[in-house]
Amino acid sequence: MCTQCEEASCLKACPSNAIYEEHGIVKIDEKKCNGCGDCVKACSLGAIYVNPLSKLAEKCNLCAHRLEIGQKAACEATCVSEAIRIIDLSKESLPANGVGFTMRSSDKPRTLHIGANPLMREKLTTGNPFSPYNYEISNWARRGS
Amino acid sequence: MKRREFIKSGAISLAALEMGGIISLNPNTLNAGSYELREPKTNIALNIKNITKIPSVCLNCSTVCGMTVLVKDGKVLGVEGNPLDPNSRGKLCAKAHGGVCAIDYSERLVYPMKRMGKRGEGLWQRISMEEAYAMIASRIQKSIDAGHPERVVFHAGRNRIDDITNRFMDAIGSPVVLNHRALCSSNKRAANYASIGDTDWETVDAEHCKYFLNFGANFFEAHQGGFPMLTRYAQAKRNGAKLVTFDVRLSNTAGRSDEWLAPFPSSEGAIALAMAHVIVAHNLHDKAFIQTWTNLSLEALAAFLKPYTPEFAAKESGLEASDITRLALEFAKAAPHCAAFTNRGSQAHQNGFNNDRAVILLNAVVGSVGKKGGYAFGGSKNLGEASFPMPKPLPPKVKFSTDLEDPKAYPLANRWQKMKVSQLVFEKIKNKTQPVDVYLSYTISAPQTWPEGPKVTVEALKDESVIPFHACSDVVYSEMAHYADLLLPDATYFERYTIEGRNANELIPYFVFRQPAARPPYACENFADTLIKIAQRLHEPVAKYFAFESYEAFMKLRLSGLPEKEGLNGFEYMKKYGAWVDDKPKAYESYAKKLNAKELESSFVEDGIVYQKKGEKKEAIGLMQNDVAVKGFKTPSRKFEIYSSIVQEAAKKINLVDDGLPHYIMPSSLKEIGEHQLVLTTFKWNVHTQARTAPQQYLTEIVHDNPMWINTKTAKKLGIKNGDMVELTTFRPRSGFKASLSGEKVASMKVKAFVTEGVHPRVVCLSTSLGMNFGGRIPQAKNGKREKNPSYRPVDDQARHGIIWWDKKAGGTGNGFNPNHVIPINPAPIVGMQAWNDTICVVKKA
Repeated sequence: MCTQCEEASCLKACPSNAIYEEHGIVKIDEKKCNGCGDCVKACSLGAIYVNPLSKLAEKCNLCAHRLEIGQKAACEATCVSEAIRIIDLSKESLPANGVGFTMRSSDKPRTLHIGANPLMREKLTTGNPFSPYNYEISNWARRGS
Repeated sequence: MKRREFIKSGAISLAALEMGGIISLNPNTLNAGSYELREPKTNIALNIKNITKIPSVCLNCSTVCGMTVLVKDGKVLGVEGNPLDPNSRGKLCAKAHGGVCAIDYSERLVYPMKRMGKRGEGLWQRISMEEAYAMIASRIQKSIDAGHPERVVFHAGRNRIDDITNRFMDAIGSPVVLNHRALCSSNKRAANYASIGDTDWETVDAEHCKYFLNFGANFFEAHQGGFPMLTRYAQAKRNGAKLVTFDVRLSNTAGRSDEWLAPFPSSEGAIALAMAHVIVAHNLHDKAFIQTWTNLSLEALAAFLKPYTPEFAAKESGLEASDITRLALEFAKAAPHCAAFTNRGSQAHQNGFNNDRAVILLNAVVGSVGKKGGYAFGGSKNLGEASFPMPKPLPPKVKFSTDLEDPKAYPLANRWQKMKVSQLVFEKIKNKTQPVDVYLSYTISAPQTWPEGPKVTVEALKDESVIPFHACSDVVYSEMAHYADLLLPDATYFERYTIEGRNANELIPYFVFRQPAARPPYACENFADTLIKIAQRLHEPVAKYFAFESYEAFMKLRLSGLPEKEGLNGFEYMKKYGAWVDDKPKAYESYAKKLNAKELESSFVEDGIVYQKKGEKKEAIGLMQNDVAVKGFKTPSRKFEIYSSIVQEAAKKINLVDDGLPHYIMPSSLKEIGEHQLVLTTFKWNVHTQARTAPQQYLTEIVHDNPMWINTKTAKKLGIKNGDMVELTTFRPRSGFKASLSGEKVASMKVKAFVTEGVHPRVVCLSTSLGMNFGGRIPQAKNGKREKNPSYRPVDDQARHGIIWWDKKAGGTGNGFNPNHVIPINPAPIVGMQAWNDTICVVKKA
């Protein structure tokens, strides 16, 4: 999942200035995106990808459209085990045991993880973003142990 | 023969898509332009402002979670959980979110059709709904007039409108209402009934539970009722609860358990009894509960458990005796905040009834039954007539039965609920055991989901001499629809009413209400409304029982008994909120509740049991405890029944010797399994149900392929590598239906292997849900233009090429495999539950 990093590598890599930051959320302006995929190569987490149908870059934007009208992000609203929370810092402080999940020392994630399994790093590689093929059963065995 | 061989590609414009047109669209005409991308209209992000929220209930599985449907300009854009539903508490699973795909699905049935050509050939002519009503009504009237209403058969799968379907069948005088319960959960329900006299499903008080002993339930992914349990388990887990899972397969539940143990299939009962043995031997049993609330003395219990040692269970299950002992002690020490439970796995064996009784027994042994954090139970408020009276006049109940819906060879099949033994139905129809004039099918896809369905079910359905007329109501052109004579385009669950509710996980009676969030498109119609209209076209006395204009009017009448709330009547209140919770305390230890003066009216006591006179008969309503009349359990002894007189008597009827105790005996097929043979079991994905989700794009994008799981060591021995095609051959069981001691072959199929440590070395697993022959491009994994069918909507708005990356032609995996090609019809004795997980097989490299 996108960690909405500060000085986001995808933002910096975009040649058409289609990626921008607003209220701490890294967003894509689809009108400007040309689908070149430079952002995909730049992200260390595989959190951005080119939609094979629209040929445009896509990533998590924390459901900005929902936050705007006072709703929770879709994942937060539906998560059965309440594992995802978006915290409004004006109302609540960050959990003390949350740590940023980084792949490179230069990554500056805004999201925090509690109890993240370091083995996840084996599954995440730069330039190998979400792809439906990664989730074919025949690939399960190969994707980390 | 394929439809396309018949349909000539004449130049027919969209305007020609009218009634009477046998020939469907010419693909080139369609290509000429008018399809549009779905995004602008249906993208929530672009439409979220000023969206309308309509409370309703999901039905993409039968857990029926409360949902809020997001609607704009008459279009359903998405769903969210309804926080007022006390069961699901505002959360939804992937299936619920994916369900919206059903509404605008290109290959949805939207016009009624009648068959041309031969049955199963796929040639259709569009007709009007009026014609459809008349066709069905005249067929049914003929059977009634001939004095054979029982030749009208109604067969449903996930039927949630039985208030109207039962009324319809009662009104025409036919008892032949068939279902799919014996393919689902009948042993499990029977075990609950025999032990505590209560079902729907067991209700662990998961929120307060500290120790979960899970015998094969996959409640993280697919267990019916699992979702409300999962929300509560997550809370318990944060509070330090432990989850132990026994499963032959590393399901997501097993994988996220604190401990996963993989026993040999069908050995769950041996493990549970051995645990009970250990608990008693260590003096950790709840003696007071056993003496007060069970119908076995401490001595008799100890004597019953004596042979079931951990060593015995270790031999049967392949687990370590020390593990069984250790887990038993842990479980007992957590009492009463502990629960042993099952779902479909342990019960889908020939010995499944007793397996589940043995697991439930563990709760009685440690006294967690009905306790906070224990093996609780408590009702739904959705109890039919008792909760919401049916509009009068009521048709009389049919007073006779036939062997189709009431098979005498399975005496407990219909003892408590109508569980039937529907896996035998098509064999019986084929053999003309019971003549059929009219076969009405609804929400059922038997050719796909029945054991041997692709062969036996299809043979019966295709044969016009055994089923002269078949009308099918469905949302998509399903496996069932293909073999019908008349197709009725059903409303999706987003477009209709239902009074819903399950076992109350909050332990407080509740119900939820499904209402239309959108109008059924084109000619689509809720099958409940279709039945009302058909009934109104039948002669008296049938029509007089359907003197309401619609199912909506029927719902208003049913909810009219609810007290007014916030100035709203029952119907209005439910439309506004979608959920109703009674103002009652949680139903802990409901068996210890004193009977009040009103309940004790015209009661009398006999042998410590409190009875009430019901006309000529007496009905047990409680029992005496220390001179006080208390409710007890809804069993004949009003106690938790370890010994069951019902089981003993039922067994006698079919000449089985049974002492009424939940003994463990491994099914002979498994006991005598050959050295090179394996056991085939089935399972379900987190994003699919058996038959109704594969056409939903969002879900099938996630799971569209289901190779057969085989253990690494076993695969190595057989020279099978991950991704290899293998030949799977199955054999008839050694006891029961079509038993064969010589190992008669059922069938072979070729399937891809998934080699993994995550399955028992003697087991191979093949999921349900996939490998469909019909249903449209998504479940069939075919890119390109849709097949021609006059029942489809005029515009194919899914004609974006290449969206199905799992299409084999696009280099993908294809649409998976249907295990029912090789799974034998195998009803377990007494109850008749399909023994899905008993199939003996061999595997070799293809």
